[in-house]
Amino acid sequence: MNCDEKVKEIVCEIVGVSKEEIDPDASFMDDMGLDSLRALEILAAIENAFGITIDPQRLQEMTTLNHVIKLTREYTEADQ
Amino acid sequence: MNKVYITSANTIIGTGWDAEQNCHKILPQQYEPLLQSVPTRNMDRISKIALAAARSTLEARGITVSKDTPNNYGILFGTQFSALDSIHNFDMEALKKGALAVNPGLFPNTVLNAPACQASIHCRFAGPVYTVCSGPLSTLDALGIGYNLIRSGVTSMVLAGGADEAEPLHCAMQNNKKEKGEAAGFLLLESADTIHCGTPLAEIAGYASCALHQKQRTTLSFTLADMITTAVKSGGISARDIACLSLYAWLPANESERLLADLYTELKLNGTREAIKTDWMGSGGIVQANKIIGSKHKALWCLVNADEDKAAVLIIKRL
Amino acid sequence: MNKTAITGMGIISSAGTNLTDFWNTLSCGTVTYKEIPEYKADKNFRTHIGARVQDSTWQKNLTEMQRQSFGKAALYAVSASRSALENAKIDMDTASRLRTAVVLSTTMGEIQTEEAFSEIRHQEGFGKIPQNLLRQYRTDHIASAVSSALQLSGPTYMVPAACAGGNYAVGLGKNILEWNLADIVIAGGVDVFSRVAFTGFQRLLSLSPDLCKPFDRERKGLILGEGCGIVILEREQCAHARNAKIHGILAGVGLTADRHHMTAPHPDGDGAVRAIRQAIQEAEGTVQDIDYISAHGTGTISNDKTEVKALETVFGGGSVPPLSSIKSMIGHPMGAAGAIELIACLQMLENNLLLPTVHYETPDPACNIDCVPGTARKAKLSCILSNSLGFGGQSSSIIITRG
Repeated sequence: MNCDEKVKEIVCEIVGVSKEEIDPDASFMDDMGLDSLRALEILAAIENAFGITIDPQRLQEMTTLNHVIKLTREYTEADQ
Repeated sequence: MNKVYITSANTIIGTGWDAEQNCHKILPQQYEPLLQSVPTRNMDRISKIALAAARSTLEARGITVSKDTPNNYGILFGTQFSALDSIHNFDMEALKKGALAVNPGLFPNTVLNAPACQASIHCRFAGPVYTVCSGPLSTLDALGIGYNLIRSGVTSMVLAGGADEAEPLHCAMQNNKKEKGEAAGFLLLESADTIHCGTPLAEIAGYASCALHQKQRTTLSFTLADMITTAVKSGGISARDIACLSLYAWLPANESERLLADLYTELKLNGTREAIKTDWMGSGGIVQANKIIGSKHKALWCLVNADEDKAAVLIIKRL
Repeated sequence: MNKTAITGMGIISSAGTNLTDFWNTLSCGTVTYKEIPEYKADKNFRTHIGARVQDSTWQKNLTEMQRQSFGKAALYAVSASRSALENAKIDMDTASRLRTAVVLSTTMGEIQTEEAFSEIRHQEGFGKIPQNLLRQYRTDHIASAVSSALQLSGPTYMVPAACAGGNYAVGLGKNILEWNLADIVIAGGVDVFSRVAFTGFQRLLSLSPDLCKPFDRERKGLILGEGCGIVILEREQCAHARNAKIHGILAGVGLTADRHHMTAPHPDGDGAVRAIRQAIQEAEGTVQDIDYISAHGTGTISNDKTEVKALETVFGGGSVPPLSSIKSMIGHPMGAAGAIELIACLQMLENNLLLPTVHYETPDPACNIDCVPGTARKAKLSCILSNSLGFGGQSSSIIITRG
């Protein structure tokens, strides 16, 4: 499974939406009604799955699936 | 001083049987249907069964509190163990996989007040939220504190009761051979002012709680009789009027029966008496109270809880 | 109604394990948190700062048997309770003869015991956990330890309320005196330094990697602490009758719930606003009476912003009295915070000196308040408000006035 697919799977599991149904540009908070704790859950799961450390300041960027994918790519590519 | 009425009650008593733990377990079908529309992802089991009991008690009274209405309604959640199992599981996960591997979504379960706060959040109760950890006296003390909060006018309505789980950790902590049981329940307590419709089920007429130090333990029945006399006096009644005496004690069954008989003689009672045999952890008091509400016997009940270092008494008049 | 007098104080804190050391440390603006070597050595911990009690002299008023059988939280509670009774000049016989109640609060309970047996379980399996540790882990045994060590006979309650705990305990203590269930109340909060809490807060991104800077625009989070604060409550009349020194009057208590979220405060500070107003109302005062506020001030972005918002709602923007957060020096001792801050407030009242918020440098437009930055400040004090806010939306405020 490539990086993007893996991120998608993690995010879908945590936000409780199927991979087929998730809108990659929908806002977790405004469109899906998630709270800040759920965003932290996504951050922790991504860090653990990819063995990366995301700067806490960048949590605020993790507002949609596409943003999470972009951020994860940035960190995993920097590691390579 | 306000009179304190019980206007609604619901207790979930485990109907499952776990032979290995020698324990009556609350089954998912007993609480899941009561949690419809509640987001329960990451909510631990103790919070779920506590919230289910709280919601069903309010529902039985036909009360829904809206999110924006200011109120001073309180929660008194009695529990011997509260979320100890969630704390331990969270810690075990960190030990097994490293501190970074824990799910932050589970951390809120690791504070001992979590189940009470879940009840406050989802029942919209905006007043004081007390978690009361008094070992086996937990739910009876929660009822007693709730009674006093309404009696003295601090709040006008409280959900008082509590819950406990009997997972392997709790059973190991209890370290006794008794049959165990899980129960989660609340009584809705109100002052005469807030009872607009419906008839109260019962009235709480007295409460006492104290620590038992070494000397008192050797003369336990005298000490308990004293406590009962004090409790009934505060409600303006006589101990002789007690028609049903119920004891929930940490002692083995035969010693519990003996203590009950001594107490019965000490108080010169004529009515019925019962010693609770199952170890309900902190939920003994709410199981006893549930029995009163379920009974048609309109009489004065005296509930006694005793642990090796403390005891509590609650007087309930079934109306 | 008969007022509730505070006549005794007992403290165990990273800032000192007796009242003199505690006051001297705080009034000099000394920071008491530092790097924890074992966390630095573990790559699973990205932050390593904590405020632990280093001085072990607090143990001297405990017996060997107590040290063997009680958990750490219970030991803190017993030791600080003894010191508080001594400070109140109440001898053990009197405490035992009268109806003396114990009301304590905590966030995590006997958590170091849990951490110890979890390690055993992890290494050797569930069956190897010793029975004495399982027994110690019972939360109610913290308050029972105080009752049994001091041979008391009043009600004994353990009322966990997360970080609002200290105020919840003194609030119930005041009620117990008013309800005539006791003559003396030993009330307070206790939490010991916890790996579980450190692990959880790290994953919530709530821990500061370096400094605790409440109300500063550059604040990065809280610093975990530990400790125990105990006060002795009695009816004012009784305190006068025995010529006791009254450190302060517990004039008002407000206990409310946000009913919003388990970890995030209500965005408008709903519970906090109602708690502050209730406390002021119970004290039969007005907002103009408050000379100083001991803020919850954890140093997290959301707490400080919401707390200031709540204060502005009650006092009016630009009219909030001077406030400070001693958490800038001792970190956040969780369930003990309210009780420890109450003791600091009583000492401020006595010395007419406001304790500072240290390391404050950059004003935050969202926290437009006077937080007594840097150094302690002289002020004439007669009425203090102290806030404590906790997980689950537990909000609490108390008001103390001069005795």
